[in-house]
Amino acid sequence: MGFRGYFLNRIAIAVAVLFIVLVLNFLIFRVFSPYDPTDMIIDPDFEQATKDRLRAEWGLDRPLFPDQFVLYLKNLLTWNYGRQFDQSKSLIAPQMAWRLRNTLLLLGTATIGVILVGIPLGILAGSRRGSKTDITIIGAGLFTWGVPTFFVQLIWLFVFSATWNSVFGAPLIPRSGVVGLPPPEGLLETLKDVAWHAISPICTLIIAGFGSWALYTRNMMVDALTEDYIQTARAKGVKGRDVLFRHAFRSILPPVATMVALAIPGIVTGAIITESLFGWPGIGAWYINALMNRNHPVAQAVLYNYAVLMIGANLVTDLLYGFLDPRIRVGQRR
Amino acid sequence: MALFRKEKRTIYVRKIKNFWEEFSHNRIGLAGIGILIFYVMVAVFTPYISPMRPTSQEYNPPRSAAMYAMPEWVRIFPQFQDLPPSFEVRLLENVTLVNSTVTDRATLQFDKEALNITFHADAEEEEGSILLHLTAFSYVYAPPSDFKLTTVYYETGNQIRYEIDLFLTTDQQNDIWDEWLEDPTRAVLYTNDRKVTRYPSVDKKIRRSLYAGLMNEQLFAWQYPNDAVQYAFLHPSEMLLSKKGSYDFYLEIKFNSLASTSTCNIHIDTAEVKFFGDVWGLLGSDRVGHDVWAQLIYGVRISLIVGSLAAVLSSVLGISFGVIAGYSGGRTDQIIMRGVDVLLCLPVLPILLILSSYWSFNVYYVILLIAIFGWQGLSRIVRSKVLSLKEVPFIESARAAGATSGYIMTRHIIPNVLPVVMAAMVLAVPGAILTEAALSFLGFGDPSVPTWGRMLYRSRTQGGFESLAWWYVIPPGLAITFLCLAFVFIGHALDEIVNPRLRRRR
Amino acid sequence: MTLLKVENLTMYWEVLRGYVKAVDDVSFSLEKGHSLGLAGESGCGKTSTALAILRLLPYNGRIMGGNIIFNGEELLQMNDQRFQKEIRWKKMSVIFQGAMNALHPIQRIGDQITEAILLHENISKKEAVDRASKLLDLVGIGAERIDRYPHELSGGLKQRTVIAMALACNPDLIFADEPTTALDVIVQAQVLKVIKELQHKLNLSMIMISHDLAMIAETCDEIAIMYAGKIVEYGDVTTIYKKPLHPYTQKLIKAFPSVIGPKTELATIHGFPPDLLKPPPGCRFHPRCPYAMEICRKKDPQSAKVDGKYHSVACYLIGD
Ligand SMILES: Nc1ncnc2c1ncn2[C@@H]1O[C@H](COP(=O)(O)OP(=O)(O)OP(=O)(O)O)[C@@H](O)[C@H]1O
Ligand SMILES: [Mg+2]
Repeated sequence: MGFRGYFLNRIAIAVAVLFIVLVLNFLIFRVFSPYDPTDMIIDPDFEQATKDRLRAEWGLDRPLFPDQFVLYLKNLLTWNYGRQFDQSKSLIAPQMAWRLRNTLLLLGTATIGVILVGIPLGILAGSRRGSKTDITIIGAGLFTWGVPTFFVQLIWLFVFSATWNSVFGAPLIPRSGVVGLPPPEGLLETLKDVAWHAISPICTLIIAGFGSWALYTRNMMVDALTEDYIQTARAKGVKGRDVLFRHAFRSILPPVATMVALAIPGIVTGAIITESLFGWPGIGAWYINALMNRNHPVAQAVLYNYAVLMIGANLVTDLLYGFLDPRIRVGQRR
Repeated sequence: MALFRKEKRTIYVRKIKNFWEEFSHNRIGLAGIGILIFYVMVAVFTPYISPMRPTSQEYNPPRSAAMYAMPEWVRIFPQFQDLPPSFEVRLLENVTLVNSTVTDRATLQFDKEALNITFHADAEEEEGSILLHLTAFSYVYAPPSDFKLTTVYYETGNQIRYEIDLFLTTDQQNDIWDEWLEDPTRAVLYTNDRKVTRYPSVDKKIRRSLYAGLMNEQLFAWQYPNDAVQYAFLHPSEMLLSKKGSYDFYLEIKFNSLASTSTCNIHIDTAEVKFFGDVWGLLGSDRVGHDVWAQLIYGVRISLIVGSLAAVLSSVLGISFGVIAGYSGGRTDQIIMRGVDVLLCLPVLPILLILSSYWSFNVYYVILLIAIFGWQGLSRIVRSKVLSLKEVPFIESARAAGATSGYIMTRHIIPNVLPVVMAAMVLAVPGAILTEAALSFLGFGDPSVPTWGRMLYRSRTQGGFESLAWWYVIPPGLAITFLCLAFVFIGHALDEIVNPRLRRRR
Repeated sequence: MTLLKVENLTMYWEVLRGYVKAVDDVSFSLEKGHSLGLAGESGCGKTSTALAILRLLPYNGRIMGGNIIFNGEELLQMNDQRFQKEIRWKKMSVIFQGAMNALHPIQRIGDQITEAILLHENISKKEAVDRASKLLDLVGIGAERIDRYPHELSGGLKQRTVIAMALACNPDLIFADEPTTALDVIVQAQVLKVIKELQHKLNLSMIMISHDLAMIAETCDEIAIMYAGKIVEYGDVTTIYKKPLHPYTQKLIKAFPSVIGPKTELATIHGFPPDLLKPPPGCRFHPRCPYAMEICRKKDPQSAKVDGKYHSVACYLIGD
């Protein structure tokens, strides 16, 4: 089976997983939930007739399967998440778009940052195996692997927000938000302000996250550098740096790409906490709030988006792997 | 057969010996083992290391110190030298009679535990007063931010009116504080110069107790067990204990008979002042004045249990599924690996969060859930190893010799897979610990167990940051970090040993 | 004309507990167009010798002394850059032991060969590709496979690719380190055939490293028998096969099954090769030698010429 077969296979799997996730998402919120959705939207003091009318209005009078399920599928697949279970009863979709953008901004830059810091360090350590540099990088990598991301962030907040506040009268870093209030004028100013707001969450995510990447890359590099084909390359007269990048790193690129997929759950997890800690208005912070207030449509919508995000990321890395490694055959991955 | 088994055992013994030989040269691995042993010792000797048990916040247990009291040892720094520790003064310890106008009509009994005063009057409008010196103590600290006075007394009497005044005097300043015991139903605000009288109920023994306390110079609470009313008013402790020096408590009781024959008996059996220190213990206190050290130390057990149980469970799942998938191949393999694909696409933490928001889980359910969502990576490694093992001659020959699949799996495959996945299994421990910590940190953990994640959650939500209570923020975080590091170190060492190319050059 | 002359080459591996004396006082020389077989048990230092000459020693290899004269030039004095650019791969290249892994797994074989050419010669990419196709034809892979990845080739074809790569810059000398191990017998024969043809066509000089004496007999003119870091016997192939003098060589030849000759009981050599960290004093073979004498335990025998130009042996039994 060639590339195309592999791609089609991966896409088919992604679609299947998406369907399973949709079913799970429905089950978790509509079947397993110990709370009746009507508790949240209908005042218990209403007349029975009013209650019934409201139920009918929300479509809750129809059977769960298939009517409500089909409706649910139709809605989610068209990015129609319904309304919030709160006072405002506002539509979820517009806010979701805004928050999703914020989350993707955070996740994307943090992931890229972690890759840009972790992988070069890993290559450096691997190429100077046994040296002080190597030992330092291993040590730092192991340390940041053990330290919880939120602890790094707590320390960051403790120093730059709380302590700074008590010493200088105001915290150094912004308390929350993507931009300050009132929002600055002009594109450049806005970008600057967004960067200023994003720098704390992103820096802490990178600090707590680069270690495992550096270690993983380092071990793969050490492994690759002992391969016979590296000796061949050296013997052929390939220069040191080219041996490192064009030969050794090139050969570990596919598994490194897989690692992106494996790292995504961790990054998503990290982002939930990061968003609530730094007041970053993304979907993670929203999710926590929604759970605490039993705002289930919001939680359901966020969970769905997380799953789509992860399925998408997995798919992309699978396809990337196929491009990077000609040896790929279906069902045979590292 | 027996011989064979014995040989096999010696092979294992030798393998383990070789392994240990390798491991003992790996400094990082040894450091990991060292840290882990330290934690295990702490877990074993927890009650000795922390004599106090951690208290839960669900009910209102006695507190040990003021809110966010600093660790006691900060007093070695000059700026914190004066902070008061927790201590209590028992008022009835050493009672002496100073002055009595009614020696003939009053009887007075006191010992260390209780004070008993009886007064008779033979005529109307007869007056008398007794002044007692209760106790002297020296106060050598800055004014306390939190203290509590407790008095418990019985009264019986008839046709008489009495007043009880509690004075606090000091050699620097006279009569700085008096305190009145008052009718619960009429308990209102108090000022320094108002004296309140009360009438004892008729021939009825009533036990009343009275608490007065001060927290952060804001809250002055009187609390009666019957109706639990609380009143607050500003009562700066600076007024009371502003100076260092020796202080004296005096008790003055004044009687005033309303009829020609009247009696009154007052029995005080508890009278004490508790000062809730602004420094406390090894690691200070939390928002409600509970010992942080106890929470930290008892957290070791929980984290070890969570990490090891979840890792063992998920390893069992991962190895079983991996071996079954790899060994059976075909459709079973397909189904299991697709299942793994699905699980890898699920956002685990969000799902754990929603599940624990439905059912407030106890910690064992959390462990179970972490294991259920945590075996996929391992099963992939195991499967690929099994696939390569399947081709190895000795397994093929075992199969040809008619060994059953179960026999081959348990006797040949699993023992050969284990060394390869050992590192992954060890590394599952910090994964589980961090997941549980994340849950607790977001406030979705088991509320009844003292976990480090919960401490961090409280430090964040209960003003620990604003109070700069570093002792409530940093130790639990470091404790998690080092416990995880121990396993990360060991896992790294195992990786180096099992994978010879990573082995350190010597 | 002497192409390569190695004199008293000594190379040790530095390890924590001391030096592994893998190449100790090794001398041999090779005429242009001739082939030399380097034979000996596993671990006796064959590969180490090749690596030392090719300057491919890993971090812990230490050349302790000796001379390597190639085309009249002293290689040990040459600077790294020049050696890399002008000698290695250009003038002498190598087919590595375990060639199956010597190819980059995710690079096309054509690219791997062209890379070698472009690194040493100032020609255009296209010319290099042309030459690579010719080489692939030459070794019997076929130019049409130039865009294949290694995993798409069989073991034999991979081995041929490695040979083609070694030939990329028309070298004068090729080190072939066990070029046929890890291949099955039929493929071994095919690859061997290719090597022999190349020797003829290109007038190649080779140093063939192997413990397969039969293969050396087929491809080489001279043979050096190594034992524990030392060359114990050296001479032309027929002489040594017919009349091995060193007890080790005798045992080694007896230990090999001969397809053509009469059926004989295969001999085994008792004991194990010595630990090169602490080789035995005197002759390194003496603990396993049935003829060991007092002097063998004390003094290292020097290589001495016996009848004629080539044949020399390091053994007290021979000579005086
Ligand atoms: N990098 C190294 N560091 C330390 N010792 C080494 C190193 N490489 C090889 N050795 C040791 O040097 C000795 C000679 O090894 P070498 O690879 O040259 O043997 P060989 O004759 O090629 O054996 P084989 O037939 O197995 O290829 C062996 O004892 C080996 O253990
Ligand atoms: Mg070799």
